[in-house]
Amino acid sequence: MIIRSTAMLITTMLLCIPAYSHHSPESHYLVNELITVTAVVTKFRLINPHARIYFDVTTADGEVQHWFAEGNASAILRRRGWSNDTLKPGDVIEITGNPARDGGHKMDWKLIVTEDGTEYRGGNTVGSERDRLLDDIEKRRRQRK
Amino acid sequence: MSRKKFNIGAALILVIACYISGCAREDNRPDINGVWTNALLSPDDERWRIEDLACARSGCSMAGFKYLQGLLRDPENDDRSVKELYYEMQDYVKQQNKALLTPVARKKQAEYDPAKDAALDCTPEGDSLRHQILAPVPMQIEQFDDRVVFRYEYWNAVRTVYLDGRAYPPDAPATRLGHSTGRYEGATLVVETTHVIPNMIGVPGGGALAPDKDARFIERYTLNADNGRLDLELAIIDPVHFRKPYDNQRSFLPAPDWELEEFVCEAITGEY
Repeated sequence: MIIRSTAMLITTMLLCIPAYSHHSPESHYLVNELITVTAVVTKFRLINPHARIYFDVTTADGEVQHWFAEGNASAILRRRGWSNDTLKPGDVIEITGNPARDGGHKMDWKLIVTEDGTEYRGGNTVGSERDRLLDDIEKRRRQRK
Repeated sequence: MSRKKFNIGAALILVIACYISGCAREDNRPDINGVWTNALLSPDDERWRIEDLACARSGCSMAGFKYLQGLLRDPENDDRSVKELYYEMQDYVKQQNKALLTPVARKKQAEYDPAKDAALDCTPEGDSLRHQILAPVPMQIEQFDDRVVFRYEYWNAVRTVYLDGRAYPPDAPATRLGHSTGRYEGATLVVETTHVIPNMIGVPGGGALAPDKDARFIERYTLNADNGRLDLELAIIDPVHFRKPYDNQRSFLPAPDWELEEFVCEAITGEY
C-alpha cells in the first residue's frame, strides 16, 4: 500500500482564531500536512466528541498496521446524514487526513473515498481543509448571483 | 370623585405601574424560544449568508466578520473569490489583534504547548465557557419572566440566566459556566457572566491561555425579525490578558423540528 505524504504549507493557522473542537486538532495532528492511505475498515464508531474509524493498512513489505482516524462529532455527523452503517468492517477506503504529531498510526481525517467512488468528508475544517470549504462556498455565492 | 374619573385614574396608575415594572419591555422582548442550529450543522439552508458559512467552523472575531461582510457587499469585489476575501479578512484581523494581547497574555501564549491539551478525558471540566457557548452543536432556549434557560446539547449543559435583577453572590465559588444575569434591550438579550473557572481558551495568533478569574463574559443575542436569524456577539472582558474586549460571533437559525439529543461521550484516553 502506498502512503503518500504531501506537505501543505499554509499560513492559515497563524492567522485564524483556533477552531472550536473538543480538543484542539493541532494538539495531536500536523494540521498543515496531509497523508493518504488505502485501508480496510475494521470498526467505525459514530461517537462524541469525535467519530473514529479504525482500519488496517498493509505496507509494501506486507506488514499490517492498525490505524485509527478522528473526525467530527457524532452530534454533527448524524445531522448531516451519517449513520452507524456509513462505514462497515471490510470496506476498502482511501482515507486522507492530517498525520499525528508523534508519528503514530492515526490521523485527523479530511476525505474518505470508498471503492465505488463515494466521497465522505466529515472531518475538522481547519488547516488544509479550509480552502476546500471556501471553494464550496464560492460555488454557492455564484449560484445566488 | 365620580366613578368615571376614578376608573380613568386607576387605569392610568396601572399603565404607569406596568411600565415601571417592565410590562412594556416584556411585551417587546424577542421570542427566541426553541431549538437553534448553526451554519456548520445545516449549511444547505438558504437563509445563511455567505459570511455565516465562511465563519461556520472556526469562527470569526466580530471585527473580522463585519470586515468580511463589507468586502462581500462591495460590488468591486464581485470578481474576487470568497477565499481571497476571507484571507484578506484574516490579514485585517491579524493587524487588529496585534495589540490585543497584553504582555502577560503573550507570555502565556508563547508557553502554550498544544501537545499538553488536557481536554481528552471526556468530561466537561476543563472545557471553557467560551467553547460551550460557541460549540457548533444545537442549543435550546427557554424564556421565562424571571430567567432564560440555555440547554446545550454539547455536554448536556444547562445555564440559567437570571433576569430578576439579583446581584452576583459575593462568595459564590467559580464554576465552569459561571453565574449569569441578563436583561432585554429591545430585540437583544444581553447576558453577563462572572465567577467563571478560568479554563483555556484559544486566542488570535495561535495557542491558548486561561483568562483571569475576574473575567466577564458578555453575550448579546439579537433576533433579526426579517428571517428569524439569531446573531450572537460574545465579548470576553479581561484586562489582564486583553487590551480590549476579545470578541467572537456566531449566528443561529431556528430548527423547530429538531430535538436535542443526549450528548454521549466516549473517552479517548489511552489511544494517543
